[in-house]
Amino acid sequence: MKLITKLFIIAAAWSLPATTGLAVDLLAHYPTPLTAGDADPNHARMWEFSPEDIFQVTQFTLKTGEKFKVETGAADLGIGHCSDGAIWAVLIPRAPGTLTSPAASQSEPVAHIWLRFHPAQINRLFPPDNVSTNGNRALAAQVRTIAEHKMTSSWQSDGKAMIPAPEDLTVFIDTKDGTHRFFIVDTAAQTAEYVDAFNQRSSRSISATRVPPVVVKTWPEAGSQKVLPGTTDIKVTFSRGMQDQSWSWCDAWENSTPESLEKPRYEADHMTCVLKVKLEPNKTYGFWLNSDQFKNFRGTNGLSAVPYLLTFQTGQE
Amino acid sequence: MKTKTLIPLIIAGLLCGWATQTVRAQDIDNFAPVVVKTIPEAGATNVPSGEYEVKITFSKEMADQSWSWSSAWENSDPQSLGKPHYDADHKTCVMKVKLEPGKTYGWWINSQKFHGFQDAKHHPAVPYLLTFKTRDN
Repeated sequence: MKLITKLFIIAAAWSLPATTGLAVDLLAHYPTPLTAGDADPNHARMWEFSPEDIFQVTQFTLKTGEKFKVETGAADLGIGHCSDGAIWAVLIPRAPGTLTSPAASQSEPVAHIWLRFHPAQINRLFPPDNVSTNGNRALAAQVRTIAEHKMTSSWQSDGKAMIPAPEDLTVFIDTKDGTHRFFIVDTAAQTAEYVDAFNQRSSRSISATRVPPVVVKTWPEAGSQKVLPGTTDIKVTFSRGMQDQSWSWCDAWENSTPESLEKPRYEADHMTCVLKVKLEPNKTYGFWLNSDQFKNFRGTNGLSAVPYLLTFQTGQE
Repeated sequence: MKTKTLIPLIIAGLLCGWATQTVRAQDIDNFAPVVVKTIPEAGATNVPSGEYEVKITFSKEMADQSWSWSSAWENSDPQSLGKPHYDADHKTCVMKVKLEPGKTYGWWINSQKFHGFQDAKHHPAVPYLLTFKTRDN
C-alpha cells in the first residue's frame, strides 16, 4: 500500500507543469497599514521595483458591470511597491488575453495591462491561489519601461504614487493592434469609464511645419452650467482655416447631443463651425469634436483636428 | 465626410456615439477637464520674444503640483524660467519661459503617454496641442 501511494505521488508530480512554483500571498508579501486613499501630493510615495517583484499568475480576470471585462490566461506579473504596500501592477500575458469594452465593437487582443489600485486590494486582484513565484525575471526591463510610461496617467505627483481609494482602480491596456485603452474603474459603483483621448495621435507625426488644428474657443465654453435652453448656435473656433463641408460632431455618450435644426456651416473666417440646435432645460450635453474613429474636422493643410470634448449643462427655462 | 443633408450627419453622430459613449451622462464634474483658453492662443504667429508667461486654463479646478508639459516635437519647447504653478483659481497653470525670435514652439498639454494634468478627482485632462510662433525681431 505504501509503495502504491509513493508511486501515485511520483506520478502526480510528473503530471504537474515543470514551471510550477510556490504559491504567493501578495498581501502578505507587500503588507499595508493603509485602509483609505491618500490623494495629497505632499504624501506621494516613491516606488520600487526589481526582478524579485515578478511573479506568475495562472489567470487574470477583471469584470466591471456588463460591458467591461479583461481576461488572460497565464501571465507574468510585475508589482511596484512602496513602504506602504503594492501600488501598481503590470501584466504581460503568456497566453492570449482579451479586452471587451464599449471602446471597440469586438474584443481586442491584449499586449499588456497596467493597473493602479489601493495596496489593500492586491489579493482581490490576484488571489493567492493564482499566484506563484515562477515569474519571468528577464522581463524586468520591459515591466519597468511600461511602468515609467504609464505612471504619469493617474494617481501620481512628479512620478511618485498617490493612493487611490479602495474602490478606485485605473486600468490602462495596450492592445496588440496598437490602441491604448484607458479606463477609470469604480468597483463599488461597478462602472468603467473609458477615456478616449489617450488613444490619440502620436507626437511623432507633428512638426513645426506640420501642425494639426486645435479648438481654441467654443460657445458655450466647455464645463458651462446654466446655459439658456431653447434654440441656439453652438460655435467651435479652430486655430486655423478649415475644410468646408467636413466635420465630426460626435456623441460623447448615448443621446448626448441636442436636436440639430440645421446642417453645420462655417462662418466667413472658415475657422468657426456653427451648429444650430434646440437645447432642453436642465440637461447635460456633450460632443466629441473629432474622435479616435471620426476625424472629419480637418484643416486646409489636410490634417485632422486634435479631438476636443465639449460638455455643458442647461439651466431652467 | 461630405455631409449634404441632416440625415448623414445624424447617422455619423450615432456612429460616433458608438465609439465614445463610455463617457457617462451624469454630473458634469465627472467629465475629464479640457483646455478652454491658452495664452498665447494656439496658432498665434506674432508672439513677442523674450520672457513670457504661458497660461493654460482648464474647464475645472485642477490638482496642484501635477502637470505634463510635453515636447510636441524635438526641441519644440522653450527654456523654462521656473517651475509651473496654478493661479489662485486653480484652473490656470502658468509657466514662465524665454522665447527666441522667429521660432515655432509646441507642447502637448497631456499626451498619449503623459497625463499629469488632472482635476481634483484625478481625471486626466483631454490632451491638447499648443503651438505658436514668435515674431522676427
